Amino acid sequence: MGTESLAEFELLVMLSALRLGPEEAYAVSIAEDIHARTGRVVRRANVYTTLQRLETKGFITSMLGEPRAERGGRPPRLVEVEPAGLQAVRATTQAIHAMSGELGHLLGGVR
Amino acid sequence: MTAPAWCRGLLRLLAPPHRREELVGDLDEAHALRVRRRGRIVGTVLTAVETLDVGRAMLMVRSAPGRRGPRFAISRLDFVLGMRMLVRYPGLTVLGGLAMAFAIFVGAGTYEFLTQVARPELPLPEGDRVVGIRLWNAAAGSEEEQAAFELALWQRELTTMEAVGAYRTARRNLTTADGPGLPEIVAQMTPSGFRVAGVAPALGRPFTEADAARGSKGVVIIGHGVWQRRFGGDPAIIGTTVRLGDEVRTVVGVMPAGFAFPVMHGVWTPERFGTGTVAPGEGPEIRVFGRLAAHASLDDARRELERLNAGLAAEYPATYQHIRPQVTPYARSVLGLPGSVSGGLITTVLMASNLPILLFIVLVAGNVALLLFARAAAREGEMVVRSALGASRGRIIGQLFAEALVLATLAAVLGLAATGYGMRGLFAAVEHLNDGASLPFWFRPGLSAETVVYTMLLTVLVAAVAGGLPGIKVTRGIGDQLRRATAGGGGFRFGGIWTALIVIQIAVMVNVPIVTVATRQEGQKELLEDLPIQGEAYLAARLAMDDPGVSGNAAAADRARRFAATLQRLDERLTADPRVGGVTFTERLPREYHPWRQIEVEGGAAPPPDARGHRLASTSVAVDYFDVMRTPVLSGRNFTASDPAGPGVVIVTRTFADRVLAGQSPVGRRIRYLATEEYRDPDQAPGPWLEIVGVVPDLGTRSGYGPHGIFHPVEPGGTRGMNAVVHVRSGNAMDFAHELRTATTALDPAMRVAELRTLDRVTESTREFYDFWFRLLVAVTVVSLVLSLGGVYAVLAFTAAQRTREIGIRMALGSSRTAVVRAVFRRPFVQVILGTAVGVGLFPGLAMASGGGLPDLKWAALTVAYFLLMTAVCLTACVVPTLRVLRIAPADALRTEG
Repeated sequence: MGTESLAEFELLVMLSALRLGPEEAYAVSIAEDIHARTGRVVRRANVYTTLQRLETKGFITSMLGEPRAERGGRPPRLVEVEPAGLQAVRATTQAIHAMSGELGHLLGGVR
Repeated sequence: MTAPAWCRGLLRLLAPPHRREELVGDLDEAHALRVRRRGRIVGTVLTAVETLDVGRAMLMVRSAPGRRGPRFAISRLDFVLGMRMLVRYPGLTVLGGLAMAFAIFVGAGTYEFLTQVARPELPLPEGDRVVGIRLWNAAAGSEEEQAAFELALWQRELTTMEAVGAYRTARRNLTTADGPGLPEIVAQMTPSGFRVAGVAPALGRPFTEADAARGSKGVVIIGHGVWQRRFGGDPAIIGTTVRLGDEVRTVVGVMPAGFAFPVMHGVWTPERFGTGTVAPGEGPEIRVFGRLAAHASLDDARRELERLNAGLAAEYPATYQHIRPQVTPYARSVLGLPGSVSGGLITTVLMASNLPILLFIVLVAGNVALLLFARAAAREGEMVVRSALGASRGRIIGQLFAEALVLATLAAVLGLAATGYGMRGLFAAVEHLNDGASLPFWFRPGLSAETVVYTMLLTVLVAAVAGGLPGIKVTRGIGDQLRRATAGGGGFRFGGIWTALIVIQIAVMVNVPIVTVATRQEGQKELLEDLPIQGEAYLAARLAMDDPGVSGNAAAADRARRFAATLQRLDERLTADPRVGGVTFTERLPREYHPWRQIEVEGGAAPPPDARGHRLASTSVAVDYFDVMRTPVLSGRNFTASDPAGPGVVIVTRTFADRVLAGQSPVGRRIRYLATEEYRDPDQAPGPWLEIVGVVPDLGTRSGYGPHGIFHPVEPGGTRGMNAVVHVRSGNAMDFAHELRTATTALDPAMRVAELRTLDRVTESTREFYDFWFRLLVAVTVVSLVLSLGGVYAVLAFTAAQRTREIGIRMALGSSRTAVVRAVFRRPFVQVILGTAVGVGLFPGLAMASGGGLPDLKWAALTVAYFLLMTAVCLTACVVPTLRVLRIAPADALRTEG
């Protein structure tokens, strides 16, 4: 059985969670990160449902962090990418590279 | 910064219990980011939208496969289907949409008004830091407004305030070089007032401390409105001199548009109340305000004020023993709410006030639910098939909810537009009633972001009731339907609740128009009371003299003398004009509201209408009042020149003789005033005996207790303000308005002229206000009527659809059309008859409860006629479904069912 690949938004969420790390990745920071890097407007509701789906698939785990003042003393639900998740990210990005590798002249800087 | 409370509450409600805290934390954090980037209003709206979005996602999460309970789910397709339904059922779209729009209009309008009153937001830079400071006398239970001594102390000592100032309001004639003197609302304010407001002039400069120093050259700052209205927006206004009352002042600044701090002011003059020479409890009556320093909170300021007050109490124990300084958010201090009223209490009161409105909205939504239920019942086959294909109950409820949400959203847009329009209308009406003075500057005729958000919530609520309830009802027992496989076979039933709803609604509907018309007639009876004079031939104006600016009996006596002398000269000057038939003065104009007083008649009077005795209106008039008004003295004598200064005499109206003395002649009898109930002072001693010397026709002494009134003779100027009444011999009396204003301000620039109108238009603004409410009641009536008819129609249409098979069989077996019509008609007919009968039965009770007593025969006849009309109208709603029933071909009916 091959590794399950990720849908586009799932991939963005996984990449963001990897970038932010287990101490800083949670719904608000992930939505902000994706918006800052891609410019697309991210509905936080979609982040929640995507995170739940990824957790169901075993790609991530989540747990409550420490309470934070800027959140009115409430803790964020921090996300950590599991090895299976990392494998899924690799498989998906490799598939994208494999498909786009020879199209550099069409896709410009995108590889 | 946290998200709005309702957003957090809604999210808590919708989120799974173990995720509530983290989701609320996310919401607060995202809200703070958004407000920082997009500003408060846009940020709040976006947070509201996101709350609904996240809430929807949480519902999906909670109803995910593997979880217990109904799976409530909505897809985009449901909304598309909802839009198709709007087109497919245009009647329901229009009827249900208008009803929902009206409910949302009422809900949003009420919420906007209440929040503006209870939780005002000052449109000033960091307006939440502006506060009101006052001295509360705990022993007397009142505010001590002579606070000049404390003002100087607070300006000097308070470290929790970056600026402290004060003002008092005066009305002054503003006279320009080429225009007449017109009254303006002036704020006599400390120069620090503009620092407290945090707003600088758009042109020129603010006041300096030197401007306020005694003996300095008089300066004035004007508002944008005054600048445009009185100076045509002249860009070279700075340095121009104007006359303000008695004083000539130089314009040094123009404030930006919309600025009316402290309350509704358009002109500002510099004052220094706290000179340091004033003793505690002395000096002018002022209102104090301040701006909190950046580092200080309201509580810090309270503590510092209390500390300063403790020092004062030690130094002046007699004066400060019961004095408690209070500091409250500025708008609340202006509205006079006690300092002990907390923000939480205000919110509770706000919510409690909204409760009846919410009930009304739920009632309207319940009616729309009735219509949607009938529609859903007509789609019974579709529901059963979907259920057979695996759609859960929650999925079908979700679909009906989404369809209702589409309709409710359209209605919300319409309702919000109407609310915006209505708010502007209401503000214009209040301004009109308030003699051109606007509301406090923080009231705005538009809609706040909070109200828009509240409306979104209302929309969801309306959709939940209108779509969710039919959904729950329709899907109950859908499994049995499926097992019986009777698509279109009539498994759904209208329950007793729907029937009761229709009956109650018709009962209420029968009464609403009656009460509406009765209210209007009662309200206007006195406003339109016939006057024995030609009102359009009389020009009236309210005249008042500027306050002297200093307190004391001597100053007040000087002012009264000057007022009387000016009125005397005005009388002479106007009477000399050949167009004028006469000039007189009165404390109150005919048909204006006159405060009532309770009287006692020497030697006894006719039995009073109730235990509270005879209550009558009274007013003071010049001795030539009845001559100028061309009103004959029916018996006794007219006032003479010596009456104002002589022993107490009065003239009464004809109705006085009828009601108080049972038709006996009042001339020569004596009356006196008892404690005035309006002021509730039971210890007040009775006034002196007054002799009745004459009787005149009823002349518009309107008090709410009838046209019987009492006239006292008075020298012009003998009361604080007086109305001049000018009889103009020919033409329109209003044409003489300019002469009256010019002559008055020419005689004394401190004399203000306001409310220029002819006597036939005295109650016009009040009448317009009544009309506004009447139109609103009519709108409620129309909505109730349409909804009731819609309900009756829905019941019949539903019955006809349900009984298609039965009717087909009856027709096939030779049943007559009459028998079929009777069978179909029976239920709605009974509902209509029952509803109207209950409604008519309620009417006498309502009439008595409103203090009107039992309705007379005329009203009874009208009610019976109305009952017949309503029955006919309701039964008309039955025509279309009945015709549809009669068109059913027996073979078609049986084939459909087979």
